[in-house]
Amino acid sequence: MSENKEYYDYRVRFSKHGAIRYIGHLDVMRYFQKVLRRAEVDVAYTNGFSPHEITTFAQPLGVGIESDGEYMDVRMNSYISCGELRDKINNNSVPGIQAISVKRLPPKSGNAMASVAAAEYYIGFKEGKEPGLLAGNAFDAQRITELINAFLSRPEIILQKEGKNGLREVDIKERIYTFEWDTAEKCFHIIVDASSGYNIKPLSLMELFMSFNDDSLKENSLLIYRADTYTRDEVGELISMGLIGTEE
Amino acid sequence: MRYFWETELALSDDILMKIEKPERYIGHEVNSVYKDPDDVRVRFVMCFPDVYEIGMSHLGIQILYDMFNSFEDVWCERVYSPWVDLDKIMREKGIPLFALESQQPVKNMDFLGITIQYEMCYTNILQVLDLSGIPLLSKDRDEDCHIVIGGGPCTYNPEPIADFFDMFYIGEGETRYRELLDLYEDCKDKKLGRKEFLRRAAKIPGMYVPSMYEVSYNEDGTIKSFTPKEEGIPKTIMKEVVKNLSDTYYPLKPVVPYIKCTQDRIVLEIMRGCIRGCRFCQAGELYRPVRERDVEVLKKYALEMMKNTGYDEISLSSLSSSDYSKLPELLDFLLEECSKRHVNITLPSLRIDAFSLDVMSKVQDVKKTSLTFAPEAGSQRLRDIINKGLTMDDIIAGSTEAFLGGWNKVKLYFMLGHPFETDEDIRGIAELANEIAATFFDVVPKEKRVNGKIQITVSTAFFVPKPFTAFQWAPQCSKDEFITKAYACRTAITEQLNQKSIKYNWHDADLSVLEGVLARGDRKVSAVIADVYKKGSFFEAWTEYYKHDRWLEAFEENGIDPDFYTCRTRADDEIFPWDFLSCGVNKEFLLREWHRAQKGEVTPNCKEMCSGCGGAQFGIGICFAGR
Repeated sequence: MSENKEYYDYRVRFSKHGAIRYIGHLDVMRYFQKVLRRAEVDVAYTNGFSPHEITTFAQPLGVGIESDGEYMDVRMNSYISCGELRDKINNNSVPGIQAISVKRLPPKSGNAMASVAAAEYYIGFKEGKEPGLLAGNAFDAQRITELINAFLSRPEIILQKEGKNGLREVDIKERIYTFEWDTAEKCFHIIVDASSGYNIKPLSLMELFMSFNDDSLKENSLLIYRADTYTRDEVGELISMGLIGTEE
Repeated sequence: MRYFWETELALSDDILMKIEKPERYIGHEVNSVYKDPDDVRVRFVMCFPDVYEIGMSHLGIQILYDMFNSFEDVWCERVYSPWVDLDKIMREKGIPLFALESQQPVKNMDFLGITIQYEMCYTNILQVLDLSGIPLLSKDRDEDCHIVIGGGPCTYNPEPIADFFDMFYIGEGETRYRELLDLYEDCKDKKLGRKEFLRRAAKIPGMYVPSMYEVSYNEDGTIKSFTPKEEGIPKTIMKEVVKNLSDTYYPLKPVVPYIKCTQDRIVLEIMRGCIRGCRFCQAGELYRPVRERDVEVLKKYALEMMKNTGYDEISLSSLSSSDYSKLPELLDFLLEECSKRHVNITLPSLRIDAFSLDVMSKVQDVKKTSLTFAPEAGSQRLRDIINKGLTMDDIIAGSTEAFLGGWNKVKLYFMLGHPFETDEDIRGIAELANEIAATFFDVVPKEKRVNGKIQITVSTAFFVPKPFTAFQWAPQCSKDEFITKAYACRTAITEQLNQKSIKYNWHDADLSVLEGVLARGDRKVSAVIADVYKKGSFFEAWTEYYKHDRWLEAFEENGIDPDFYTCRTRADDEIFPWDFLSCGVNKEFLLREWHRAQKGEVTPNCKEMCSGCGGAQFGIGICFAGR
């Protein structure tokens, strides 16, 4: 890549729904490379014998999870309007994966992968697979809220995280930004750290929560939906990654 | 609920989250075709009886899928063999096999079309039928069952699997399906039933309905007669051929999988057939005559397919791409258009010469790729017997050019067990590899050698005689003979001066013996295949799932001697199980070739002169295009 060349960076917020939720992260990345080629947009490529499009993706989404808050940054050689890029992507994509919005990124904004700070999830239970703790009381909101408060008021909340060098213990107390019960939808609503190295998986948090209450989750009992992914603004506040940039 | 969506998949989330690669079973790929079942009259399910990643790589299914779905009254869907993990769950829970698009049971459709590409998938065919809830034997199927139809190269000897199919389509699928479907719709309207449909279908050219024929055997187990049971059913079935390859169906919008498949690229089929009658090669006879696709048509297809798929790679497909008359023009075009779009070109095995090396150096990293030669036999004497027109001089000249161009890896493919092979011929393999290494040290000065060495990989497969080849009369080696030959080859390699530069691989002998039984078997073999399946075997093309003992048991239990099909020398006038079929190349020509092989006489290729194989009866292709 020549240093002087001008590039145009865009951030695409996209959804993943239906059967497509079983497509793994690496395959979604490969999928978007093909979408961009089908869309015949002027993507920038890496050099070398097998050049590929310059794209980066935010925090990988687990297989089986649906989302409206996935992000891909893509670099273009020439200007394209955000609306046109969104339409071209959608015209060349399956219904289960659609661009929700596209923003042009200001120069030197961190890429999608590096700037992830948090992710927001809604976590429900499959019918008949509610844990003993919650079953039988028709999701008593007041009681569940008490359990959450008790959990959050512990001096520390230790999560065993599997890393490259085996298990390590992380105190995630300060990394749970929201943890509440959504009464209307009868599911948990959480916003947790999703930065690389400190990503808290919704399943891990739920397991921890249950074990604090001497209960456990049934196998594959959670319905998980990722609503959005967040970064931090200049003053350190969480802000949706889709709000960075301009719609020009 | 607001946050959670329902999906209409045949498998529950619990199952999909438990199995390997759920993406194999969910459909919804780019360019997959969805229709409203109420809008169509015929539901067709196309099956490749192996795992998704293998099946999705097959061009033939993509062609037929595209063709069927271009018919307004037909919805064609796909199904592949569920991998062993899902297979187990489906059996435990009684989940019927389903088509990927509609996710509805295969059993509810009108046709199940199975492409049969290699013998080792025969037990997978039974897995697919079984999981679908279709009786394994055609004779046990009732009016509710749909039609099971087979196609592909193995149907040129369909007899070992004849009991499992209602019918076979012999030859290229583009030509007669419309006629067959019209007949089906007509029979359905008139409520004539499946038996009557099959009777009428047997009269359409290219269709073989096994139940309409009767076989009788001689005392020695060979075939005495093979005759139609009724008046009006053809005695011989001629294969179907596409007359004009530039004016037929081609999948310009092939289905693009999410997961990485074996063939993860655009496939451009440039021609069918092969001019070089290698006497061991079945494909070389089955697809005669040679027909090219127009170069302008191919250019147009390439651009459209790049736009429609988004693949980053394109590959040319044919049996011998170097023989395509407009290859330089096509490659020049692709080099230019592909580099604009950052699309790689993967080259099929080309004859190694100045032209191909020049192209290869433009599209590949020379240091990482290897040269491939397929001399198939180690000595000139034996190469003459098998009619492989590749000489030692060709190989040394090609390697010299390549070594000067920077290549330092060579792959050599041979077969062991050709008819009339001697120890001398086997030693020739080692000597040829040694000679190539010596050439490298001769032409590449020491300071230019990467890591100072050359890597030569010699691979040998065991020769399995196939129907419709000159060697269909030849005895196949026994397992012990195969192993002795591989050992002799290995020993000869270790005796070479440059043995440190040569790596040697050989194939499994058990599998080759069994492939031989299935390739030249008759209807009596069906029972063995069914029993092996019932013992729990399938996915046998995957060595970890191949259980040789089960085959030995099943042969014994059915009183069948596998050697009868493999090791026996067949008389010139023996009636073969596949003789009622014709691929256009007639038996007299093949017999002439078998006799010429015994004398070591070379037969010129179709470009040099016509040898009168019979392929000219189709009135097309190289037989008429002039030479």
